[in-house]
Amino acid sequence: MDLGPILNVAFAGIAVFGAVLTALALLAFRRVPSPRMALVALGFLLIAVQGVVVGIGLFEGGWGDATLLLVSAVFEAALLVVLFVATLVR
Amino acid sequence: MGEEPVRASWAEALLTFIQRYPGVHLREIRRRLGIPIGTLDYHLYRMGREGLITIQFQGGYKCCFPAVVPEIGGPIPEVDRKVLALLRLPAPRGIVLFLYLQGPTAPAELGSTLGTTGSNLSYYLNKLEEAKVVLREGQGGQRVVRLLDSKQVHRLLLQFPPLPETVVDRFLRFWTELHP
Repeated sequence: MDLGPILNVAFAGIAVFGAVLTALALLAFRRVPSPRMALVALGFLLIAVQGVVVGIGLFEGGWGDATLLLVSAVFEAALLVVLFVATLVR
Repeated sequence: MGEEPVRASWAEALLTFIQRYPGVHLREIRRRLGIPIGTLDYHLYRMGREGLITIQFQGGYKCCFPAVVPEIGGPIPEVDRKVLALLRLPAPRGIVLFLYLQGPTAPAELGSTLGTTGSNLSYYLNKLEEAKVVLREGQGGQRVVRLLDSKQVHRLLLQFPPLPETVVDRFLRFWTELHP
Protein backbone atom coordinates (compact mmCIF):
# COMPACT_ATOMS: atom_id res chain seq x y z
CA MET A 1 0.00 0.00 0.00
CA ASP A 2 1.33 3.43 -0.99
CA LEU A 3 1.43 5.61 2.13
CA GLY A 4 2.70 8.69 0.25
CA PRO A 5 -0.68 10.43 -0.27
CA ILE A 6 -1.76 9.72 3.32
CA LEU A 7 1.49 11.19 4.65
CA ASN A 8 1.06 14.26 2.43
CA VAL A 9 -2.43 14.85 3.79
CA ALA A 10 -1.26 14.23 7.37
CA PHE A 11 1.56 16.78 7.14
CA ALA A 12 -0.68 19.28 5.35
CA GLY A 13 -3.11 18.89 8.28
CA ILE A 14 -0.26 19.41 10.76
CA ALA A 15 0.75 22.58 8.90
CA VAL A 16 -2.82 23.95 8.90
CA PHE A 17 -3.53 23.14 12.58
CA GLY A 18 -0.13 24.52 13.53
CA ALA A 19 -0.88 27.74 11.67
CA VAL A 20 -4.31 28.08 13.33
CA LEU A 21 -2.81 27.55 16.80
CA THR A 22 0.02 29.99 15.99
CA ALA A 23 -2.58 32.62 15.07
CA LEU A 24 -4.45 31.93 18.31
CA ALA A 25 -1.24 32.20 20.33
CA LEU A 26 -0.40 35.50 18.62
CA LEU A 27 -3.86 36.85 19.50
CA ALA A 28 -3.30 35.73 23.10
CA PHE A 29 0.15 37.38 23.03
CA ARG A 30 -1.42 40.62 21.82
CA ARG A 31 -3.79 40.47 24.81
CA VAL A 32 -1.11 39.47 27.36
CA PRO A 33 2.33 40.34 25.93
CA SER A 34 4.40 37.95 28.08
CA PRO A 35 7.57 36.06 27.03
CA ARG A 36 5.80 32.80 27.87
CA MET A 37 3.03 33.45 25.38
CA ALA A 38 5.62 34.40 22.75
CA LEU A 39 7.31 31.02 23.31
CA VAL A 40 3.99 29.19 23.00
CA ALA A 41 3.39 30.98 19.69
CA LEU A 42 6.91 30.02 18.57
CA GLY A 43 6.23 26.39 19.52
CA PHE A 44 3.11 26.23 17.38
CA LEU A 45 4.92 28.03 14.58
CA LEU A 46 7.57 25.28 14.66
CA ILE A 47 4.82 22.67 14.24
CA ALA A 48 3.37 24.55 11.28
CA VAL A 49 6.81 24.96 9.65
CA GLN A 50 7.57 21.28 10.27
CA GLY A 51 4.34 20.35 8.48
CA VAL A 52 5.26 22.54 5.51
CA VAL A 53 8.91 21.43 5.27
CA VAL A 54 8.27 17.70 5.65
CA GLY A 55 5.18 17.98 3.41
CA ILE A 56 7.33 19.55 0.67
CA GLY A 57 9.99 16.88 1.17
CA LEU A 58 7.42 14.13 0.79
CA PHE A 59 5.77 15.80 -2.19
CA GLU A 60 9.01 16.31 -4.08
CA GLY A 61 10.13 12.77 -3.30
CA GLY A 62 13.85 13.50 -3.62
CA TRP A 63 14.49 13.34 0.14
CA GLY A 64 15.31 10.01 1.65
CA ASP A 65 13.36 8.58 4.59
CA ALA A 66 16.30 9.15 6.92
CA THR A 67 16.51 12.84 5.94
CA LEU A 68 12.79 13.34 6.53
CA LEU A 69 13.01 11.64 9.91
CA LEU A 70 15.99 13.79 10.85
CA VAL A 71 14.21 17.01 9.84
CA SER A 72 11.12 15.93 11.84
CA ALA A 73 13.26 15.05 14.85
CA VAL A 74 15.04 18.43 14.77
CA PHE A 75 11.72 20.32 14.67
CA GLU A 76 10.22 18.17 17.44
CA ALA A 77 13.28 18.56 19.65
CA ALA A 78 13.17 22.35 19.17
CA LEU A 79 9.44 22.32 19.92
CA LEU A 80 9.94 20.36 23.15
CA VAL A 81 12.66 22.77 24.31
CA VAL A 82 10.43 25.78 23.58
CA LEU A 83 7.41 24.28 25.37
CA PHE A 84 9.59 23.18 28.29
CA VAL A 85 10.83 26.74 28.76
CA ALA A 86 7.34 28.19 28.20
CA THR A 87 5.65 26.03 30.82
CA LEU A 88 8.29 25.20 33.40
CA VAL A 89 10.91 27.95 33.56
CA ARG A 90 10.05 30.94 35.72
CA MET B 1 -31.06 46.22 -1.03
CA GLY B 2 -29.17 43.37 0.55
CA GLU B 3 -27.67 45.65 3.22
CA GLU B 4 -30.90 46.26 5.16
CA PRO B 5 -31.18 42.75 6.65
CA VAL B 6 -27.51 42.92 7.63
CA ARG B 7 -28.06 46.26 9.40
CA ALA B 8 -31.20 44.93 11.10
CA SER B 9 -29.38 41.83 12.30
CA TRP B 10 -26.49 43.94 13.63
CA ALA B 11 -28.93 46.12 15.54
CA GLU B 12 -30.69 43.08 16.93
CA ALA B 13 -27.44 41.38 17.90
CA LEU B 14 -26.23 44.60 19.53
CA LEU B 15 -29.41 45.16 21.56
CA THR B 16 -29.53 41.51 22.66
CA PHE B 17 -25.88 41.66 23.69
CA ILE B 18 -26.36 44.83 25.75
CA GLN B 19 -29.51 43.42 27.38
CA ARG B 20 -27.70 40.21 28.26
CA TYR B 21 -24.48 41.86 29.47
CA PRO B 22 -25.32 45.32 30.90
CA GLY B 23 -22.32 47.57 31.48
CA VAL B 24 -20.38 46.07 28.57
CA HIS B 25 -17.78 48.39 27.04
CA LEU B 26 -17.81 49.66 23.48
CA ARG B 27 -14.45 48.03 22.68
CA GLU B 28 -15.64 44.68 24.01
CA ILE B 29 -18.84 44.86 21.92
CA ARG B 30 -16.78 45.54 18.81
CA ARG B 31 -14.43 42.67 19.62
CA ARG B 32 -17.19 40.16 20.39
CA LEU B 33 -19.70 41.02 17.69
CA GLY B 34 -17.24 42.13 15.01
CA ILE B 35 -19.31 45.18 14.08
CA PRO B 36 -17.32 47.94 12.33
CA ILE B 37 -16.79 50.90 14.67
CA GLY B 38 -18.70 53.37 12.47
CA THR B 39 -21.70 51.04 12.25
CA LEU B 40 -21.52 50.37 15.98
CA ASP B 41 -21.48 54.10 16.79
CA TYR B 42 -24.42 54.66 14.45
CA HIS B 43 -26.55 51.93 16.04
CA LEU B 44 -25.64 52.97 19.59
CA TYR B 45 -26.58 56.58 18.79
CA ARG B 46 -29.89 55.45 17.25
CA MET B 47 -30.72 53.14 20.17
CA GLY B 48 -29.83 55.85 22.67
CA ARG B 49 -32.07 58.34 20.90
CA GLU B 50 -34.93 55.81 20.81
CA GLY B 51 -34.53 55.24 24.54
CA LEU B 52 -33.58 51.58 24.20
CA ILE B 53 -30.17 51.93 25.83
CA THR B 54 -28.16 54.43 27.84
CA ILE B 55 -24.45 55.05 27.47
CA GLN B 56 -22.21 56.47 30.14
CA PHE B 57 -18.49 57.11 30.37
CA GLN B 58 -16.80 55.43 33.27
CA GLY B 59 -13.11 55.11 33.96
CA GLY B 60 -12.27 55.97 30.35
CA TYR B 61 -14.69 53.40 28.97
CA LYS B 62 -17.97 53.90 27.12
CA CYS B 63 -20.37 51.57 28.96
CA CYS B 64 -23.72 50.50 27.54
CA PHE B 65 -26.79 49.65 29.62
CA PRO B 66 -30.29 48.61 28.55
CA ALA B 67 -32.91 51.27 29.36
CA VAL B 68 -35.03 48.66 31.11
CA VAL B 69 -34.10 45.32 32.65
CA PRO B 70 -37.18 43.05 32.79
CA GLU B 71 -36.05 41.31 36.01
CA ILE B 72 -35.80 44.67 37.78
CA GLY B 73 -38.79 46.22 36.02
CA GLY B 74 -36.88 49.42 35.28
CA PRO B 75 -33.41 50.82 34.68
CA ILE B 76 -30.38 49.56 36.60
CA PRO B 77 -29.79 51.87 39.60
CA GLU B 78 -26.84 54.23 39.29
CA VAL B 79 -25.01 52.64 42.23
CA ASP B 80 -25.16 49.22 40.52
CA ARG B 81 -24.10 50.63 37.15
CA LYS B 82 -20.75 51.76 38.47
CA VAL B 83 -20.06 48.34 39.94
CA LEU B 84 -21.32 46.47 36.87
CA ALA B 85 -19.11 48.49 34.53
CA LEU B 86 -16.08 47.51 36.63
CA LEU B 87 -17.18 43.87 36.81
CA ARG B 88 -17.04 43.76 33.00
CA LEU B 89 -13.25 44.23 33.18
CA PRO B 90 -11.23 41.05 33.89
CA ALA B 91 -8.89 42.50 36.55
CA PRO B 92 -11.49 44.24 38.76
CA ARG B 93 -13.80 41.24 38.37
CA GLY B 94 -10.98 38.95 39.53
CA ILE B 95 -10.30 41.20 42.55
CA VAL B 96 -13.97 41.38 43.54
CA LEU B 97 -14.51 37.62 43.12
CA PHE B 98 -11.41 36.82 45.18
CA LEU B 99 -12.45 39.17 48.00
CA TYR B 100 -16.00 37.80 47.88
CA LEU B 101 -14.80 34.20 48.21
CA GLN B 102 -11.78 34.69 50.50
CA GLY B 103 -12.76 37.72 52.59
CA PRO B 104 -10.38 40.57 53.56
CA THR B 105 -6.96 40.05 51.95
CA ALA B 106 -3.60 41.81 52.03
CA PRO B 107 -2.89 43.72 48.78
CA ALA B 108 0.36 41.79 48.21
CA GLU B 109 -1.46 38.44 48.42
CA LEU B 110 -4.20 39.75 46.13
CA GLY B 111 -1.62 40.83 43.56
CA SER B 112 0.31 37.56 43.61
CA THR B 113 -2.85 35.43 43.46
CA LEU B 114 -4.27 37.35 40.53
CA GLY B 115 -0.88 37.54 38.80
CA THR B 116 -1.00 41.29 38.34
CA THR B 117 1.63 43.98 38.92
CA GLY B 118 1.53 46.26 41.96
CA SER B 119 0.79 49.37 39.90
CA ASN B 120 -1.99 47.61 37.99
CA LEU B 121 -3.53 46.35 41.22
CA SER B 122 -3.30 49.78 42.80
CA TYR B 123 -4.95 51.37 39.74
CA TYR B 124 -7.93 49.00 39.86
CA LEU B 125 -8.21 49.16 43.66
CA ASN B 126 -8.46 52.95 43.34
CA LYS B 127 -11.24 52.53 40.75
CA LEU B 128 -13.05 50.02 42.98
CA GLU B 129 -12.65 52.31 45.99
CA GLU B 130 -14.04 55.26 44.02
CA ALA B 131 -17.07 53.13 43.12
CA LYS B 132 -17.41 52.21 46.82
CA VAL B 133 -16.97 48.50 46.11
CA VAL B 134 -13.86 47.89 48.22
CA LEU B 135 -12.16 49.52 51.18
CA ARG B 136 -8.48 49.49 52.16
CA GLU B 137 -7.98 49.36 55.90
CA GLY B 138 -5.03 49.31 58.30
CA GLN B 139 -1.41 50.37 57.90
CA GLY B 140 1.82 48.71 56.78
CA GLY B 141 1.83 44.93 57.19
CA GLN B 142 -1.70 44.95 58.64
CA ARG B 143 -3.18 46.56 55.52
CA VAL B 144 -6.09 44.60 54.01
CA VAL B 145 -8.64 45.10 51.25
CA ARG B 146 -12.26 44.13 51.84
CA LEU B 147 -15.60 44.39 50.10
CA LEU B 148 -17.82 47.19 51.38
CA ASP B 149 -21.10 45.47 50.55
CA SER B 150 -20.74 41.77 49.81
CA LYS B 151 -24.55 41.41 49.51
CA GLN B 152 -24.57 43.87 46.58
CA VAL B 153 -21.73 41.96 44.91
CA HIS B 154 -23.53 38.64 45.49
CA ARG B 155 -26.72 40.04 43.94
CA LEU B 156 -24.94 41.53 40.90
CA LEU B 157 -22.90 38.38 40.27
CA LEU B 158 -26.07 36.28 40.27
CA GLN B 159 -28.22 38.74 38.36
CA PHE B 160 -25.82 39.63 35.56
CA PRO B 161 -23.75 36.80 34.05
CA PRO B 162 -20.13 37.38 33.07
CA LEU B 163 -19.19 37.67 29.41
CA PRO B 164 -18.61 34.19 27.99
CA GLU B 165 -15.01 33.15 27.46
CA THR B 166 -13.67 33.48 23.93
CA VAL B 167 -11.32 30.95 22.32
CA VAL B 168 -8.41 33.30 23.06
CA ASP B 169 -9.51 33.59 26.72
CA ARG B 170 -9.55 29.79 27.06
CA PHE B 171 -6.19 29.51 25.32
CA LEU B 172 -4.67 32.12 27.67
CA ARG B 173 -6.19 30.50 30.78
CA PHE B 174 -4.88 27.07 29.76
CA TRP B 175 -1.28 28.22 29.29
CA THR B 176 -1.37 30.48 32.34
CA GLU B 177 -2.65 27.68 34.58
CA LEU B 178 0.05 25.30 33.31
CA HIS B 179 2.74 27.49 34.78
CA PRO B 180 3.73 26.45 38.35
